[in-house]
Amino acid sequence: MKKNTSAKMIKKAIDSYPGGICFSALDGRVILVNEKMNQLVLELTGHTILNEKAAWEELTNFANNGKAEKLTQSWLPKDTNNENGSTHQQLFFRFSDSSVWRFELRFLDSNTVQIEAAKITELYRLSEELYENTIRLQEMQKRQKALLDSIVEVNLNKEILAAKMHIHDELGHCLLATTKAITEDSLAENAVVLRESWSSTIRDFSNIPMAWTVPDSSLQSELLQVAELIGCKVVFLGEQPTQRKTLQLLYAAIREALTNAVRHANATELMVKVEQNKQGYYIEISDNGCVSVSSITEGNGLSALRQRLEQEGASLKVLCDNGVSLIVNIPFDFDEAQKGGRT
Amino acid sequence: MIQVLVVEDSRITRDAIESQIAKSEKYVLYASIENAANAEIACLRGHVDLILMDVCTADEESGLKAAAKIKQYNPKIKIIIMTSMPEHSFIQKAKACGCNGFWYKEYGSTALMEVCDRVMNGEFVYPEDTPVIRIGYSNSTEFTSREFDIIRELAQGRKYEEIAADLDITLNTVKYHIKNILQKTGYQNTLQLVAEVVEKRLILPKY
Repeated sequence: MKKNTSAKMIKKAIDSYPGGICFSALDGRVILVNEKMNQLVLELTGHTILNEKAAWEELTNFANNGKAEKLTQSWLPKDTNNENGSTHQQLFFRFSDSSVWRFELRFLDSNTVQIEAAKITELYRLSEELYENTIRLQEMQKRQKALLDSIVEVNLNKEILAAKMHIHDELGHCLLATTKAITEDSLAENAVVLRESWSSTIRDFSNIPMAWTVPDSSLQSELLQVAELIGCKVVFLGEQPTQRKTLQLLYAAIREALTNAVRHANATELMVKVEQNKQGYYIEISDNGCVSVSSITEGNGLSALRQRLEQEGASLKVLCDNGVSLIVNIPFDFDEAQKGGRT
Repeated sequence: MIQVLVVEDSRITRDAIESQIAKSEKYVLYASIENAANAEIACLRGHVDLILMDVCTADEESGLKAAAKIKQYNPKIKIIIMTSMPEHSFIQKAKACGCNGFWYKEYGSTALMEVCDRVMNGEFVYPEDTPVIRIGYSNSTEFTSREFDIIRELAQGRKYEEIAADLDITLNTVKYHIKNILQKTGYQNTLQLVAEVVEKRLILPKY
């Protein structure tokens, strides 16, 4: 009697549980199932749980039946502790009343299996919101990156626009002043001023088309011009890299070598030997300076150059053999190598 | 004659400056270049007296970094930093490098040649403040120095934990500042804030 009462009490207790619950043996025989689970499974499959294994199979292969739909979105709230999919599986369903339920199958021990159904409507809504926000933020992040990358160009264009507006104003003033002078018959008196204004405006105006394009060769040509300005010629042996990033590193090294050669050794010529091997560019920079050293202490300039090169996967070696030479190894860029960009 | 080196990557601006120098009786153009990294080399033989240095120059080279290097070896060369960016830290950085003047291309009321004259007379000529930029509901002047530090870190893509480590403050302090910044500006998240701040050139992390 006591035993019967206890079983009823247990059944009553699990029936009062707001979620669905079902315990079964490994072969699927149902040991205990509550009303809510039967009600949910009935709605999904058209019958209550007869065999847990078969019921789970049906739920796994569930096709939308108008009363409920199976949810398969990748962002669904998963149990993060579930590392072993074979002993712990989850399925998600949305019912016709818009409620969302998670069905979870667990192997409790070597003999018992549990299926638990929990209502996660709110959690699902929040996950959906979180997913949408994440996508939106990713897009914003992309836009922000593009903005950061182009900010200097944008600014340059703004400056050009401002200059154009200024020229437009100047042109307007010139026209007004000339019209006024003609109307008032004072053209001769104001001729000098007007001529100057027109010359200045036309000079500015003629510069606009040139302002749109900064020559890409500026990287090389400007440094060479500046070197000649201070009386040091840069002589290249071998073909220079074509990729802009590699050129930037090469010219950073040349700048540092040039600065040191002129400042410390009063050099008048800098030799840059560029060779290619299988891995990348081998560059040797030496000068005709008058200083003979057996070793040097790296200052801020060389250290900064070394850091910059190493960050990009390149390397720097300083050779002290009478004079000072810089040996720079710059690997081929992966993308460039893929394109066959080695020249 | 005062020998001037112009470092400016905008052709129109450079031509305008060169034209003003040409008109002047005191100044003569030594060289005009567009990449700040080449400025140190141009100064090596000691012919330059004054540099008019743009901040954001060709190949993304920073005029402020170049100025710091030049001042290290040639403290007598006068340097005037020029910019059209309202970036709030540029003035501080220019002062820290020992630059002698600072001139806003778009916002200032003082003519460039006047700044040059004053600098060559030994004055340090700096604008009183950065231009006021509207960020959301707030003016740029309403941000504290620490809030600017936080926004700069955010603009560099740092996570909250990284910001805390970089600025040597606690994670809660970072969150507190960010909450305040968002309240001031009315933005819902930091990305909106950073996008606006960068677009209006109040923060330029590369320079």
